Amino acid sequence: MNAILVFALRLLLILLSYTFLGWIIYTIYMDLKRESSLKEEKTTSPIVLSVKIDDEEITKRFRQPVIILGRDPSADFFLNNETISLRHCKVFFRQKQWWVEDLESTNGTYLNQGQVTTSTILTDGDKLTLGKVDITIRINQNIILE
Amino acid sequence: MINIFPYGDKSSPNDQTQGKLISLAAIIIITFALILSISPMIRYHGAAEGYRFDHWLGVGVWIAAFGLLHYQSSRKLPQRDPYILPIVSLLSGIGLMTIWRLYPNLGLRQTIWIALASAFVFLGLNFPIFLDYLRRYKYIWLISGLFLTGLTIFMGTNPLGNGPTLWLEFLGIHFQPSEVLKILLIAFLASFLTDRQVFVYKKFDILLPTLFVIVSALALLIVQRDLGTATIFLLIYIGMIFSSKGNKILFYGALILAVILIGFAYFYIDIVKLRFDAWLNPFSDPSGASYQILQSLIAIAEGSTFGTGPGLGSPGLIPVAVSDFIFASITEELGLFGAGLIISLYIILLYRAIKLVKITQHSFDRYLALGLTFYFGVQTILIIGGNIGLLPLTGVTLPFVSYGGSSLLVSFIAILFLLIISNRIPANPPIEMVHHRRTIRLSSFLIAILGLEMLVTSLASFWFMPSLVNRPENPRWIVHDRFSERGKILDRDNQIIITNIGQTGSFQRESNHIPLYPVIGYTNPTYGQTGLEESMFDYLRGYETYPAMTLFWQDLLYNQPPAGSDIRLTIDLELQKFADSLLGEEPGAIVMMNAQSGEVLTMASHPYFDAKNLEENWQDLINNEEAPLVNRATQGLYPPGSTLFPFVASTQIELIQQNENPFSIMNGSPQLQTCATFPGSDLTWQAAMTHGCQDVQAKLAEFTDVTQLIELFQNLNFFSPPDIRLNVAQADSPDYDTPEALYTGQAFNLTPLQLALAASALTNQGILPAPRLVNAYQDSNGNWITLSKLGQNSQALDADVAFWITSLLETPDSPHWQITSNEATQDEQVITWFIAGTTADWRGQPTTVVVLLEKDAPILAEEIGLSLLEQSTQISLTNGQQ
Repeated sequence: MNAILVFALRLLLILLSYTFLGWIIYTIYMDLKRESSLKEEKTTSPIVLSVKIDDEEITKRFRQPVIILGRDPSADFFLNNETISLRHCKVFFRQKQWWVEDLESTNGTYLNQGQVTTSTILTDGDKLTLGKVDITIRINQNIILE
Repeated sequence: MINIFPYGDKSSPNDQTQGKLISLAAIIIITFALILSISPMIRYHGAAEGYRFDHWLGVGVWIAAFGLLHYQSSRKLPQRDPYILPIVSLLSGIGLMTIWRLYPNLGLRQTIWIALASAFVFLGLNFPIFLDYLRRYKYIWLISGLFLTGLTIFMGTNPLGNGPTLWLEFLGIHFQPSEVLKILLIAFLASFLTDRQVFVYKKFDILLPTLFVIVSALALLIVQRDLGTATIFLLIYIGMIFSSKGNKILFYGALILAVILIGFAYFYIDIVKLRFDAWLNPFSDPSGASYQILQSLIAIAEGSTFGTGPGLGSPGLIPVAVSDFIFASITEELGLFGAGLIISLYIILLYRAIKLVKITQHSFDRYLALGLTFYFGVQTILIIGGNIGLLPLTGVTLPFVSYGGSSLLVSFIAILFLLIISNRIPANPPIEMVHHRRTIRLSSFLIAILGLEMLVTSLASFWFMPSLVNRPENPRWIVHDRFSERGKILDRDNQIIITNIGQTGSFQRESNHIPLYPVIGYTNPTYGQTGLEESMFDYLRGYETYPAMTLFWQDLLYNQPPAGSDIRLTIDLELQKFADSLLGEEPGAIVMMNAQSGEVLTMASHPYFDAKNLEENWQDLINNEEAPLVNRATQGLYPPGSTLFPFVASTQIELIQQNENPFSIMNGSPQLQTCATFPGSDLTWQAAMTHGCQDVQAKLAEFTDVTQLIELFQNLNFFSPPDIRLNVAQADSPDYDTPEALYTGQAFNLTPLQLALAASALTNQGILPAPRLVNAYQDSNGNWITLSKLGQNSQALDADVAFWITSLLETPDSPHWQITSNEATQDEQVITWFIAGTTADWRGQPTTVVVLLEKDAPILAEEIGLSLLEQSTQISLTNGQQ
């Protein structure tokens, strides 16, 4: 009887010990994840998009990691032009780079005259063409927002 | 998860995490202690020992200490790392329980040291500013550390009374200053490096002063033969200098210095050479240099995956189990799971320390954290590596776990430093600085080595487990014998020959007939096993007789084999006693057997020994020229001489039939002095054989082709050892170069058992029986199961030939034949053989007897042999002379 009891306790001992380990590792992992997402937010470089529609120049500075461009008024960068789809394309920050991705727009997205078919990296001074609208990209690298 | 140690209502997530983890650690330690309490009941099967409770004192102190530390650290250092304290609590708890389990008196001391060390940390938590004092007065600290260590040269003592004098005694407390010196040195280097940061480009500004410090510290330690600590110093120094300055010249310079030092140590310090050699070749000297490492590996292998269970293993068999080899002790009882736990805890601890190095804002803090990382890392790697044979053994302690007050105290202080450093880091640290990459790489290297050690441990406890456990150096069978009865040894009528006395935990072998010990053999913790105890071990211990499942559960639940199985011999105890009384004090041997079945009825070897007092008499026994430990019946080799006569005669039947007596083949008259006993004046063939007339045998043999003789002897198994469940001597090979020696029976040697078997072939219609000494064993249900013979019977002589020879040899008026012979052995000693057997006229069991005396005593030999044969066959025999 004692032997069975001790055997059960020995299993419990192993179980508890590894719960202890697993728990530490889990909480450390969660800490790391939180820290890295925190870091990611902090290191998002600001991007400045400027556009000239009907002689009216719009320049906007963005901090968020994802920017939707389109004719839809709810889009992050609202562009009132017939040649632009409602949700035309997406500009987003990942792996310390800004990327552009076409959202199946009617007239397509062009980066420096080349059509954007997959996610493409943007650099400072690039020209993005949506329909008949040209957008100038300004990226200030390595500036940390508070 | 419940939190036994809540800290107020306003506890932060940090405090919560730490509190819950320490609570879980407490539950683990309580479970451990519970198992330890019950374990004696299991080992002793409810007898003798009851539950044990003494170690609960340790549990109580441990809970109080870490409860208070949790409380105080939550109050004073709200931003501290919440993982460090729980890890330390679990490590020190497991260590404490293991020490209590091994040596309760040391457990009590370790409990006191844990209380003291915790009290120190408790106070230290109130003065985080202490770190700055450590930095500001670095020279004073360092010099006092060196001074104290230097003091051990003049005033050093050793708590054990002998050995290196590394301790200072104060009010009855022994303290090891070199442990404190470690942490003072780290603090010194950290503050020194911080101060010199501006002069990054002047390498020698850093190298020279620190080199001076480290060399003087090393010199002190080497003088004191504290080489383990010296190694740690060196490695910490190299690690800190390299990762702080990242200068390759410095690094390689230090590395070369280390190699030179180790090389120097190898050639000039004996113990270093010893340790290195033992490490390179752990199986070379299992009882000497590599004894420790081998025992440690065996213990780890014994633990296997799940461990034997706390309190159920035998880690006490490992040398210095509580300090140097505590990792092996824990692994034996907690298994690979336990080893994995310990190593993982250190890895996490190192990881947290490295994280501090990465994110701390202060230079001094960074260097100090770095030094402490190396302090824990290097020490853990060295000692675990030493335990598993990956590194040479360095006598350092496993931080928090090993027994040792100074080491425990210093490790706790190091933890206090880490806690203070972690508390100084702002809540939201900015991004790490890139230029510490080298630091991170080097300290991650420590973690990688620990991972490798985990791998090697699993190799030892899994892959190499069977081969390590079955090594002859593994002494755990002795413990098994004490706790679980070995099988009894019975004679053919179930009379007890060997039984056990004592009770669970102290079983001992007890013999009812001591003169049989050379056959039975001894079983002894120091000298191992011999005889039947060795050859029948798997039966006596039950490994062969129980179902595998029973053995598996017994091992899992009790870490003991079940009570062993009894075995029944073919020996007849009454006859055996009679034989031993006949042989008396004469050095010699007797084998009597049933010629048909090959069952050995009597096997005597004198002088004998008593296995009970082996330790006291060992020197006498092994130095005794008469070799009482040897079983002469199966291990003694003697020239057969003229006992070969009937076999030689079997090749020349026609010649004997043509010549009425031997005179006609002899050139002139035979030399009667070559006969063992006087054959009478009218020499017949019968008389010549019976009285062992050697020159007649030699003359007769000359007529036979040598190859035919060799073939005959081969058929009689003279050149192959008999298959019997005992250790037998390696059989001789015939000497072809001198046929003369072959004719006189001096070309090769035989054991009495071999000759008894050959004699049985004569008596048993030419069939050479395979011998049998062990008849049966009793299985777990109490049934006797017959053990088959190891060998096969074989037709050595034609049945007609054997009949013809025994008829020729037969003593008038008596259904038996006999031969007496005396020979000079190679070392000029004279021996006497007497062999006899029943003939076809005898209607009972065919029986043969062989008597060997290590002196010239034909009459005595004949008397002994005939008395035995009479006793066993219950017929009155007349010898040839009547």
